[in-house]
Amino acid sequence: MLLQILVNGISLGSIYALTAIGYSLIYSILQLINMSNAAVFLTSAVIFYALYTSLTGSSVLLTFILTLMAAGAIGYVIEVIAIRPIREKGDSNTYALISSIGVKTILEQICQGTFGSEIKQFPTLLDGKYIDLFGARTSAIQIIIICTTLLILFFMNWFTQKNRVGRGLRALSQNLKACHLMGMPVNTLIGVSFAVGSMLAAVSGVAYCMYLKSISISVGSAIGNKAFAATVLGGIGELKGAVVGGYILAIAENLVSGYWSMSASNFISFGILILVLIIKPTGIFGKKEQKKV
Amino acid sequence: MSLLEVKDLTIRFGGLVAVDDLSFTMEEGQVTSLIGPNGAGKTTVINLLTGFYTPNEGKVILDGEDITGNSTDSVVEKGLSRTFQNIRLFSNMTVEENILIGMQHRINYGAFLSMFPNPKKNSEERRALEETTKILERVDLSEYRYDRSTSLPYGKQRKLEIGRALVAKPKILLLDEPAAGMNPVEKKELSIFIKSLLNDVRGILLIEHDMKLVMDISDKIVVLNHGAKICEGKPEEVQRNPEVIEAYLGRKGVHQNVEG
Amino acid sequence: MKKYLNSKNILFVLIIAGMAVAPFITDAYQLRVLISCELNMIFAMSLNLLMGIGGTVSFGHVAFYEIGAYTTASLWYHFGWDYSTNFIFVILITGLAGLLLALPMSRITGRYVTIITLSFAEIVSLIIKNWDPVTLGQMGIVGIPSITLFGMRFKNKIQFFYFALIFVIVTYILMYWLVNSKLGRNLQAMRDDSIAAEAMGIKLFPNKVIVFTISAIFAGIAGSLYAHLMTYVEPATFNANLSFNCISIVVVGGLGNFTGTLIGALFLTILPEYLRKFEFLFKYRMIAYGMVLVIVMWLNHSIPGLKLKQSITGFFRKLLHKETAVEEV
Repeated sequence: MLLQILVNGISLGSIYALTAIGYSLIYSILQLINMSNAAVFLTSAVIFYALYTSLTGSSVLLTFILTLMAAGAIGYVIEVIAIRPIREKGDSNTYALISSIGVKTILEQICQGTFGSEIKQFPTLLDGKYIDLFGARTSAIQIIIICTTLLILFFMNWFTQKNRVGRGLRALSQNLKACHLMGMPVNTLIGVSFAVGSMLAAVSGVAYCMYLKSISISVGSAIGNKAFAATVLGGIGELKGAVVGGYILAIAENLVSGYWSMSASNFISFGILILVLIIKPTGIFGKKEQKKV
Repeated sequence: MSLLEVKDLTIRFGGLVAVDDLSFTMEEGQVTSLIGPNGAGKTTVINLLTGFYTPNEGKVILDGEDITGNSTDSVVEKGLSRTFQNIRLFSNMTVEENILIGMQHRINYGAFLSMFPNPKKNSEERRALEETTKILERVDLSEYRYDRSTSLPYGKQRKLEIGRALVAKPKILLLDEPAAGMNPVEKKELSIFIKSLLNDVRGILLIEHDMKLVMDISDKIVVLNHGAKICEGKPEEVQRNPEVIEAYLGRKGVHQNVEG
Repeated sequence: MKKYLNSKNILFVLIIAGMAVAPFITDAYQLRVLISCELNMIFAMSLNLLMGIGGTVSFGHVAFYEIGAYTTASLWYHFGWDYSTNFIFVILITGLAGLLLALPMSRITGRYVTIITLSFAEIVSLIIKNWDPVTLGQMGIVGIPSITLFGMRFKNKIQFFYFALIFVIVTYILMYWLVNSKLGRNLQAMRDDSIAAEAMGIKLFPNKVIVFTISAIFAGIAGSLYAHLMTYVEPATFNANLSFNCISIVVVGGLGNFTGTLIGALFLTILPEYLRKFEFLFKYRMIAYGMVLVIVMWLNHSIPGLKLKQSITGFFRKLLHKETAVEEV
């Protein structure tokens, strides 16, 4: 029982973690909570569904690659249209935040308009195949999700620590202005970070719908809120915090729904969130803000 | 009894001792200056006096009353008012409103009475506006009364900040680098203005980098380096002190000064 | 009297006068839209107090609206009380909720406010969804009667309209008094520079608590009227989009500008309804809200820092009177 809960928790946690990284990545650079992230999650799933059912037919891999590209492009365009004009004039982050809410509304509305409000079947991989993992029934898609996430986490680690672009992003998160003065292509780098964040949300969105084997218009806000809670729990702006927060939340939820009740599991994530906000508002890994006079 | 007495004041940020066992006094009717190289801890001292930081050790005694570790709002009520190194005006408010904020703790009606017109509110507001008129005349800003504070030229913004501190009716005015970014003519005017402020307050604590200004108007100078006091005295005494010269110019400076 | 004579107040009187004659020329449907406008006006003015004057953006303002609606609905359902009694409880309970949300503000600053307000709305909506004995959970409460005052029942929507209009007027006037008082000034000072405000002896935390409480109360009042207008409440109605729409109204009208909020509410409530005529556009009407948010943020960006008294009303004023533009620079 416990092992089963852990397996389910880790696979759901992977999905939270991927979206949460998107929040944290942008936050670490711009101190901006990018509300459009959850909408990209939904949009990518819808794009995947649309491509799979109409164009690419049976090839999941091809559809997936196209979806990733589309999500990256959407992320970049969001930055250029909705964030950059505000950022460049040095306006308060609150404005960029409100603007990202605008984008979220637009994307959600487009999805709702084109997709409709009913629940539809979503293509999945290796349906009905299970592996017995020390007594825990683990579906093939769960294993795929967990492995993909681990791969992406290793990649992200390499990307931000070793890669030139990643180094640039880290420099940006330290001091945006200095980077600008040093002649770094700040705008391109920020655009790329939006693209990366969106692609992570896309992986997460497609994976989640494959896991559920269905898609509806409400998946974005459901997971978006949880991923956001995970980000805060881990400490917003910290990549490892997003991952740890995602896993903690998902495992806690599964524990509660496994041993107690389904409806209580909704409370647990926000219960944890309230506790964090009361005890340590900066989250598990967050650094304390220093008051500057 | 001194107007302000600082005894063994110490604050540490992690391992760094930002202010180290600092003691000095301020006398009635004098301009006392706090100088030192960049990073010597001058602004930290002001933050300690005004309650933004709580000292790890030491005492601050204002006019015989211990105000160590008091909150910022009670420090204002006890009679310490400050300006900021980088001007901090309320940017979306008018000059008049900025002054009114400066005297807010002397406007005696609370949140509840704020919500509707009543005799108490009306009379307090009238009194406040009259005082604002006076203070604006004092700092020579009457013609800008209804302008946005940040639309004023730089020098006037400094004056507004001083006016905002004055209207709180402090015993001591703390000026944090008031001459920063001013040209020689403006500095000259400012030094006369600061000296004249002794008619309004009982003492002025000045932090300043411009040595000419400091030497001109100070009655007493306290020199800080690395958070600790290295010298205290009248301007001419401080100027001759080898430790001060070393702190400002390095070792070589001392030799040159001794030889030449 | 002279101090009340300014362009914003005159515009306010004109808007109210226009609204007051509206029932004589509108049909039932249009009147209903106008009542929605009024509720949005009260709701958005309450948010503007928090955002424009208090400098705190609440991304979960719908929580207070929802609490207000459910308070009056539940009291009617369980005790059969009329609005005159419920109204007092709406004020008490939403005020308490605002106070509760303000409490963590003593420990946190800036960015975490966003997180707290968002989470607060989620928590409130979860509680209402699951607290079956009081709120009837997912099903919601149906059959709420129109407003009844001291046993006197509103017979038609026209009475409801004027009743809500009185609330709009009262809210506006109270906000005006509050903003132009010591409390209002202190709040604005905290908004512009909290450190300088602290140095002037302003106690930040009590002021935050007060502004949250007042703002919550007015949002709650708007919500309570909503319950009686719709005659039913269900959790699904009160989603995050309501908060975001409210933010749209405030930013369109201009932060800290209450007359602007009224215009923003009229504009953003009537526009989507107007789009109903065009089936395709109506399907995508929410895009208008999204675009408005992005575009208004663009318009605001031209001068750095938090721009107040700008956006649409400021923008039109600039077009009309070039010389008044000087004060904005």
